[in-house]
Amino acid sequence: MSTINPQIAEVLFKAKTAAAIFSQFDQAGVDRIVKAVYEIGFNNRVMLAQMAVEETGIGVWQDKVMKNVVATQLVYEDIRKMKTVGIIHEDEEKGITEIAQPLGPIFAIIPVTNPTSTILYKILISLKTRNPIIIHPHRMATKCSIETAKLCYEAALAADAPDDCIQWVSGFSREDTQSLMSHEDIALILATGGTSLVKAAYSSGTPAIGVGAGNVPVFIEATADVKFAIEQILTSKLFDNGTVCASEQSIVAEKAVAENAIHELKKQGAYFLNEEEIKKVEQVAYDVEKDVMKVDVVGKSAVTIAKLAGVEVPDETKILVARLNSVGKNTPLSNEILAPIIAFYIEDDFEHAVKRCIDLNFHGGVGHTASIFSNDDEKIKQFSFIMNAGRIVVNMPSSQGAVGLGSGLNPSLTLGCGTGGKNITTDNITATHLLNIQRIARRKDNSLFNKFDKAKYLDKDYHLDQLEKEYYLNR
Amino acid sequence: MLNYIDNAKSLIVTFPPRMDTFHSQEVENEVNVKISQSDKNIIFDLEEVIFVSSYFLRLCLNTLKTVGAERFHLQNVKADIKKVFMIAGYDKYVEIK
Repeated sequence: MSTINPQIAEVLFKAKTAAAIFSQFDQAGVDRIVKAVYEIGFNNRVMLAQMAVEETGIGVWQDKVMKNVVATQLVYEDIRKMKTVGIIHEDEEKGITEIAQPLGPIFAIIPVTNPTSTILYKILISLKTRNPIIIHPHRMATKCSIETAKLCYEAALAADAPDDCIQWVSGFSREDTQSLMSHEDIALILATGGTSLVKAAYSSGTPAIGVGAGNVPVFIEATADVKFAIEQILTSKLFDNGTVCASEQSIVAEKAVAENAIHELKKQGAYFLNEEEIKKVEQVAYDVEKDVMKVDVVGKSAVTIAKLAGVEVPDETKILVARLNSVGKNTPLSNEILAPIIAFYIEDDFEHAVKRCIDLNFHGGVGHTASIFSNDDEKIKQFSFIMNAGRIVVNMPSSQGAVGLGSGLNPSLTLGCGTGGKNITTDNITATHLLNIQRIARRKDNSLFNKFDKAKYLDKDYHLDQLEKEYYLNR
Repeated sequence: MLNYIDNAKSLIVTFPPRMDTFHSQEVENEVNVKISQSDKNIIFDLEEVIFVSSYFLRLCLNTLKTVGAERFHLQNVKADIKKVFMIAGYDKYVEIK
């Protein structure tokens, strides 16, 4: 029989106790706690953003502030009126009453790209649903993560939240983390992070909500306002130096608008790499053997990346563009790279462009996000039907629209990618995903069924067309 | 705040409705002293209790550790409070009647 690390045992004991105490809280008590945490998170958004950038060396602090705003203000606005305790819905016609119950302790895996914002968001949705949370910071973002969790915890306690409703663990070995994830006392793992960690979460035996990798294509269709499209794409891709998983990774332009797109890109600060320069950037940006992006470029500026690669670019360069003709293993820059590097494809027409987008979508981004700039609603729909993406963002910055900033999607820092991404949902994860819904089902007499001669079902020659005549006769 | 019934076999401690952190801290010493002075069975009567805090749960656990499982149990526990003890896993350690 294996013995559990005493530290883990203590964390679990505390979490389980907190879950028990939390289960007694009413909606008013819960909402008081959530508001207090929202306030402290929002009011410390700048300090936490700066701390995150200082510690990780990734991103732009001003953009991390906006991520913290999404994680607090937008998430709070979205969930504040949600009923998450007691009876949350009644359907008198069906005789069904829905009751919200908490899940239990949630183990939250935090990415290095959005440490403070992911923590703020996960704490808010967990406390809203009366679930204690255990934060597992990324090893490169421990300080800012713990500071975020501490601030939230103090605010929660001051609002009478149960002891240990928020805990954090750090310095655990991989085995200990695995042991914690698979322990029966953990109700759910909320896994926002790299593929291997998400896979470990799903393999743990504990229910998990994870994310998938994104390799977002943005299609500039023939009817698009090209200048606007490029502005939006750059706004998106440069946001936090490209660290949002829903950032555009490749531009696919129809031939009719390609030249204009290139012109606008150059005008707005893009540097088009030549073939030799593409090879140099590939070396620093992507590990072909391991088939992953290299950490050294994640969240770095275009100028920094160019320098790393030994490519000379003007100082005002905002983004590195690689004109490509293929997608796949032999084309490293056709992969997801969370940095201001973007691939550029020119395709003859709509059909060819959509095929290219499918290539990219299926090359490491299934289920995540796709983007289109177009003024033709039919084309937008056609594109959307074909893409395998949980989110298709239209005429907006993908990294923002996908997370609910400037779109009607639930504000969220954890974007489900559906079964294509080996996730259970394509939803933007929010508080509603952290509830066990119980249903009271009252007797509901079906008069048609009651009147019908059930013996007819046993007659193998009794067919549907007869049923439809006889069963619904008295409707 | 607490009521005590000291009969031949047991010392029964009756708790008030809200055993939040504040109230649990208030009674902790008193309970510990009473228990240390008794060699009878210890029963916590929770008939009136409608809310328990983690502090109260710890008080129960510490009492269990002090007197032993054979001499300690909870009685008249309301269903929703019993559920709290069960979610916390305390039913494995403490007898709940």
